[in-house]
Amino acid sequence: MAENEVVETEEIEEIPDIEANFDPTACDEICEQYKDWKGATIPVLQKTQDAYGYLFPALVERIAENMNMSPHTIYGVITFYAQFYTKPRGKYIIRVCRGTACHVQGSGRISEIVGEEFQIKDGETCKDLLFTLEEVSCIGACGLAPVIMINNKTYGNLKPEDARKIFKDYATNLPEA
Amino acid sequence: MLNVKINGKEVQVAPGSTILDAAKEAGVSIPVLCHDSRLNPFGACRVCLVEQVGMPKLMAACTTPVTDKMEIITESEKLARVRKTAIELLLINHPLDCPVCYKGGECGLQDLTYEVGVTKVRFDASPNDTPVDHTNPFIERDIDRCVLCGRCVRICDEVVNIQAISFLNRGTDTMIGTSFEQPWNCEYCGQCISVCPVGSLNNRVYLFKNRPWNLESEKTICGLCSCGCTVSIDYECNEVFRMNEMPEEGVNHGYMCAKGRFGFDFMNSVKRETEAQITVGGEAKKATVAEAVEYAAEKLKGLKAEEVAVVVSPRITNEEAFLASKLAETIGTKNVFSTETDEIMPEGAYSEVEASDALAVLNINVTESNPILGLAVRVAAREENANCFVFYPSETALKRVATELITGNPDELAVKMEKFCAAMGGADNDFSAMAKTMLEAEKPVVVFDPYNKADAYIAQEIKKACDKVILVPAKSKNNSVGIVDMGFGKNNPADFAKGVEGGTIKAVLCFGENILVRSGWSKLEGALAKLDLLMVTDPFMSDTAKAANVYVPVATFAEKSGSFTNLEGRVQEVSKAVDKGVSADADVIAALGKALGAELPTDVYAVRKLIEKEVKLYSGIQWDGGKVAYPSVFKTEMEKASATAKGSGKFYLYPASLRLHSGSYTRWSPDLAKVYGTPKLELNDADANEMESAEGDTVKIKGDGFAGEFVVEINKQITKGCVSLPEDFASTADIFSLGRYLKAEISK
Repeated sequence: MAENEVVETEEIEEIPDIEANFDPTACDEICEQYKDWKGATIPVLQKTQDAYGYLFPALVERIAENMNMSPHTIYGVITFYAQFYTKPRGKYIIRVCRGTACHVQGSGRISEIVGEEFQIKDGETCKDLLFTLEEVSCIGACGLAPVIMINNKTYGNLKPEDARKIFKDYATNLPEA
Repeated sequence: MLNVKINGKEVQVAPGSTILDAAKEAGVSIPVLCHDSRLNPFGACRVCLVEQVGMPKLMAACTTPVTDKMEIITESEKLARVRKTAIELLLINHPLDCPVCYKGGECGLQDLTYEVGVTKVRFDASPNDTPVDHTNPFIERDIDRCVLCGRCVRICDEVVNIQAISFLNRGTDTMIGTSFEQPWNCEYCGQCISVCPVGSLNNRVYLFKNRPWNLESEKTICGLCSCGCTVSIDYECNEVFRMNEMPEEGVNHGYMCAKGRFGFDFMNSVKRETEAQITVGGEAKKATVAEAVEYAAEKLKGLKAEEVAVVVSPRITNEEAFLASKLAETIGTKNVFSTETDEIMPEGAYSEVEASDALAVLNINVTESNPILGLAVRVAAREENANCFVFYPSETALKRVATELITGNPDELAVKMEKFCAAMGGADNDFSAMAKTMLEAEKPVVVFDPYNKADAYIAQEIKKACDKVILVPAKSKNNSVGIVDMGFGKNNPADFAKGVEGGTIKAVLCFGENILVRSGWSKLEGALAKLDLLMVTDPFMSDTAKAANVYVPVATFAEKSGSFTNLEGRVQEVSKAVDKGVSADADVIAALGKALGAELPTDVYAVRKLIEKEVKLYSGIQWDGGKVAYPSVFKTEMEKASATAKGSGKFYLYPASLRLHSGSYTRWSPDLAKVYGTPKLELNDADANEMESAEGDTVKIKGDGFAGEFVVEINKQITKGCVSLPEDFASTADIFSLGRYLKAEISK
């Protein structure tokens, strides 16, 4: 029995602190700034996402209440745009280019390596909230194919094992994001 | 005006019209799927594509505005091919489960497929395996059948203003849903069902009970609240299967509310009585209607005329109320009562509310008490340059559209409303700006609760200060206005209670009223039991019917013809759809009249002739939609009434309107009662936390002269320090008999 219990607790995904102990102050301040603006939904969502990292249910409810809108309409906007996230994101966002040039140069293998290193698939974040994998269409650096970005840094002309080294480096040294 | 040629036919249309409007003018039909004339153009389905001569691109007729000298072709080989492909593409994501689909037979997509002649789909259909969503008690949602026309999302936004659903995701992943896949929780008005062209949104009350081609329809007026909605009763073999909207028809423009759409099933209820009953010495005996009437007549003959009282319910028709007043005349009694009084009569019409540029909603939760009037308020308030000021103790659903929402506990609110009223009269205070907006508006409207004397006084003072203000007293029941016109509003309801308690009234003839759940009358149980005669007619064995010596089961509004006068003062015809084998009130009244020696007609037209002759307001009235011209809203000058909460305690208690019920009658509806069956005490979440009580817990409420136990419903919109209870439940009517605003202590 005791063993079972341990397994169960491991399976429960931990709710990040920012969501579990939701402090609406920052959200309220942002909404206040955009009070009486027309078409303020997207800037408000961008700013709140910057402040909280991602848009979780309680936060969306709060924004809806502050802006006198329906949370359902706001959720519709959130899910329409690729720039908004409803799940927690990692400290480092690994963007693997899956455009034509990078694909030909084997970027698929780089995505696989991310999976091997951090056990995440496209769009997922690892449990320690360090890495998020995003496969993107083209980051406009085809000359460097295959190319990846980690936050704002670009790494090009990658061999699969170079990529692995970079990831390992991030995982051990944890540079400032 | 613009000249447009549609298929060679020249028509003139106003600038801003779409190609679809012009085609309608020319008598040309263009197939549509996502279009609804009550909603803004959207252009999602591409079924209405047409050709313009000289333009290479096809255009969506429902969204493209016409230009002068435009030439449009709506039928060609190319268009036929394009339309067929558009339908074929829609069918990829739409399962062809028509035989088991709720919409089969009246489905927009099915009709279109048939029309364009798609017999074979060239593409692989996507699987139909998403579980059906049953999180909404009245609306079933089958996502797989959805064609993403967006009519539900748009009507929920543009008309209802609740935005309970939205488009989620993007591209091929698009679907209709709620925020974070939460359960679908809304006002349950079902407008989305009425516009869904396919079987994606289904009425759970009607689901799998019948097929549309079996049903016959009868156009009538809904008898569940004072809005006076034109509806169609769809029936087969004297069983009502649904109460359906009639798109764009009636004062309601084809909109309905939860009560009308999902609450009709009480008509078929097995709990309905079929036989009359005479109770002598505590022993109930089944009887025929004739025997019951005879028994009552015998009892009446032994009494003096002034010892008899006639009470009617605001549910009965004008004709029946008139006959009841004739019956009282025959008996010779002036004791005619109802819960309504003639102090306040209607003025404004829906059209005036919809066109208003400044609205004040005084202390009434109008979207709950009178949902269709609520929709009219929302339509007006949504307009860019319109203002809507809402006064109510808690936040209401009008929050989304209101310019300003003025809340506070009942005492604070009364002060605020008085200040607003003073500002309308020229005083300089916090509400001066608001008053200025109202005074400067072209068509200001004030909606108020006529049952609240303090509010009515304020409405009167506002009208005095600004004559162009149109007042809309939102009466509550389907014929609250009509029975007063027929003479049942002359006496004060409190005199009935006095008469029965004091023993001056010894016999009561009660047509349809459930006396024991009305504020002010709810404590008469003991006194009613002592009467020589209590005759009650009701479709159901109501609390009052149980106390009767003579009970006669009667027809509901679907089973009789007549007319109702709605909250605008508009007289509208009710037509008989089904026969459940019980008499109408009119027959019972006439039979009783005959036994007492008066010849009363039962034929609706004969009664109407008499009404036209004897009721001045109805002389020459148009029975199918004519508006009664009342000389004034207020019969006499209203006196200022106190709105101060009585008693002592930490909490303010006030009566709340219910969206799912109107009085006690709708509680016989199994579907409405399932969702809201017992009164709930609404409580703010902060107060609930302080008391450590959660939703569903039972709490005790105690005040001066009352005590009770109620289940808690947590509502964030309730003002802190306030609680509300619904009226018209036996347990709450007792409480509100003490006063409208009370103070109370609440404990676990």
